[in-house]
Amino acid sequence: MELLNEFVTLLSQPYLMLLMLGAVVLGLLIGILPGLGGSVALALLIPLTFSMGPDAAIVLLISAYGTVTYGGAITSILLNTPGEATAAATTFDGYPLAKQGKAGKAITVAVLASAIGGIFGFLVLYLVLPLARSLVLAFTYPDFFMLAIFGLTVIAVVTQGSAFRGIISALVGFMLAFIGTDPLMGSSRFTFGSFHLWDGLGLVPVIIGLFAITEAFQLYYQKTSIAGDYDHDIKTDFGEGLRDFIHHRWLFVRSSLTGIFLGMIPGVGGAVASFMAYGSAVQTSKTPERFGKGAIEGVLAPEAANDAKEGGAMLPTLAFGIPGSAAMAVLIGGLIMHGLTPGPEMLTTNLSMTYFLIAVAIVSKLVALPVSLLVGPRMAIVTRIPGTLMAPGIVAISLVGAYAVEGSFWDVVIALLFGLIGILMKQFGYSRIALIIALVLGGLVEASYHQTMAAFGWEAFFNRSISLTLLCLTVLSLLWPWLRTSTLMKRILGGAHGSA
Amino acid sequence: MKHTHMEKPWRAVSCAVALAASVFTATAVAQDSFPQRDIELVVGYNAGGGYSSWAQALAPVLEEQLGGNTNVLVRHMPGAGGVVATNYVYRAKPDGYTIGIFNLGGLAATQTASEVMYDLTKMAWLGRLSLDPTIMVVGSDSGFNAPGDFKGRDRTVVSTKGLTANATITGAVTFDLLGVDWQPLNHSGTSEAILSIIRGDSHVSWGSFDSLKQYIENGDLKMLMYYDAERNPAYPDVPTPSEIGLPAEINEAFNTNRILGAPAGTSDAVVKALESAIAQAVKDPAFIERVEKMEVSVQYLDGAQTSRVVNSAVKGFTDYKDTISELLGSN
Repeated sequence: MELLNEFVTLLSQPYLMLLMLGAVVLGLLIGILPGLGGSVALALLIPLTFSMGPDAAIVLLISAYGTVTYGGAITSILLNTPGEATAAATTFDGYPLAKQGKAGKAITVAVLASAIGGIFGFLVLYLVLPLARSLVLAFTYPDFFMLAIFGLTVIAVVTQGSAFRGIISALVGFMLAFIGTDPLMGSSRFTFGSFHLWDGLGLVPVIIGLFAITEAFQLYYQKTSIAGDYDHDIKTDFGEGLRDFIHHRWLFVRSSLTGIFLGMIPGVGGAVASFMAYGSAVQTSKTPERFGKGAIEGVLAPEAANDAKEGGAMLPTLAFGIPGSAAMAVLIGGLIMHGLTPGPEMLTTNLSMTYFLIAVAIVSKLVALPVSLLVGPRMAIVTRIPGTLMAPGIVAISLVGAYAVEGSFWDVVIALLFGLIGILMKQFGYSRIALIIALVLGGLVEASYHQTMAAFGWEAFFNRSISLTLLCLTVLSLLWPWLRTSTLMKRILGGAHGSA
Repeated sequence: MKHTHMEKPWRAVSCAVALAASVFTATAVAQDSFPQRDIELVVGYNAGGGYSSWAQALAPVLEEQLGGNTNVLVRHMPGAGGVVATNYVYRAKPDGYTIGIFNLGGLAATQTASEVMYDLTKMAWLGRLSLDPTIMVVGSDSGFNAPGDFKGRDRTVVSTKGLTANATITGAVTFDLLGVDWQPLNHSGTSEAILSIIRGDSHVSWGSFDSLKQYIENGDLKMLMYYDAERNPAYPDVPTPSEIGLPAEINEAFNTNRILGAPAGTSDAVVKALESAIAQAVKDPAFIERVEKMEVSVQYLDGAQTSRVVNSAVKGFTDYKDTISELLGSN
């Protein structure tokens, strides 16, 4: 098998393996630094690769890039501050777990899901390579639309019990999603004359405001550490995490597949993959009410999807030279400088280079796994720092993060504004998660609707097998809670009737 | 021992004298020399993109040309398609320490179509690094072979990336002149716009040559028209607009130029210093090597020539403003 040959090539070169270890540590560091994500890691490292051969450049770039997500998950869990939009969904249950003294376990699960999800993604990539071109071309606008609608149904589940406030929160999220560039014309709208709003609201500053800052204020007033009175033995974290991971193995597989699938679609955006995986974890759970309050599945699902998606994102890159994500575009720029042209040749004449790339990605995940497991759960110590010290720290770190994403003070203002909105939402029982899900998916819903109408007309929503299947899933998932209770009702009624 | 004791005061004195002398000469030179401190080179897009790569390649050679005592610091200021960065440079103190690299086609189109602070025609232009012509592309299997093939069709879908983008405006003006009815299928990124053509969901698209050439080389896209004064030597069969009977002025009016500029009101001496440093830098073998690695090429113009290109670009978009307004109003 040619892929195995590339593994041998890689493992037999100590220089490359040493470089990989360095890149992994660097990637983890960049990920932990708030506001810095995969594209930043690549942009920083590309100039360093100029003096290297193509093999070393691939090792350095892919290894560092692949490890950034681990670091991002750590800050999402410990500080409620995602390093980039793709780690945002991890905050929903990651931080509540930290509040219960289970940060170490949550980080263990996040790292396991990331690493194994990433490896899974690249293995699937390897298997579907011969079909790469037809797979990428199989999906079009009405499918994206139905996918987004399906993703939105999770709002119904996360806001159970307060449906009215849930809908209001989601509608506000939609309104916020429409700020920026109108997808039909490409001109600016709802920008109040400010060019800072032309690109819309950044997801990271909004989440930092709604979650990190809001919770930091609460932490300050509760006058205990994040983990409060919960006393948890760090030594058992790994065992518990591993057990949880194995227990939820099917959720892991499903989330990884969701990630791979969404990674394949350029323009959908990495954040959508982790939100969709989170949503499907909620919908298929027997106890959906635990989500948002510290369900370990809420950490596992987005993290698995987030890393698995990179395998999927390689597909359009290799098949057409079209980057599947912003970071992938930067990676392509770096590879071109080393004489590699991503595109159909990567599937024919340069196939061995593609296999080398897959081998590097997989081995680097294996190297990163012990490194992250060694460092990550130990950082849970910050959840024991008194809240009066920690809260100002979180505010400062998260605001630096909001600034660092685009290097813009405007985003700091946005984060503070949403910090205020978050405090009010929390106080009056409005769902911040519903708002964020609508904000993430709103743009996709609107753009793909207009694109479908322009390209095919409304029939396309219903006469394509993929979009129709997704529509059926949407209807089913909305009716599911009702169906479940109604059969239950019947049984109860039946039982009552029999005994009477 | 004694010897060194004797020497030390002398050394101190000579040091002091040398220091004083150097300070004196530095201040003497500083009165009419530029630069004395670091220069900020602003890029309106993210690190890792095309403009960022050009700036990163230029910065070290520009430092050398400016005397080696100055750092040229690349600063990324993404947002609103380069408008945030352009406004920043436009407002900066005109002392030559804040300069920027700009996308002429995109910014000129935005200036014509929306309310923005900057005015490109007022800025001090330092030179052009490269020209990136607009091209018209279709899917390789689409059956379209010439721009004229679109005449008389009922429904033509154009894959676009923002209706005020210069590529879209080029397409709108071209189809307007050819009398083709069309409708846009808009996308937020180049990737999606290209996939739309390859899938066959839309029929035709316009974009910059540099950003599309890899897809032409791969055989997924086919070029139908090349917007420049001359044909591209690598594609001798692809006509320019004037060759198929369109007005010659649209040959170059909407192309993307990567240009360097400083705020309006920068003194002539500073502009000259920067301009000549850039002129030397683009000839530097190290710079040329970096640029060739990016698979693009330098098409240098000096400050005065760049100003002319800027003025004609803004005029070009203003002349076709009706077509543009119609485009924005009727859809």
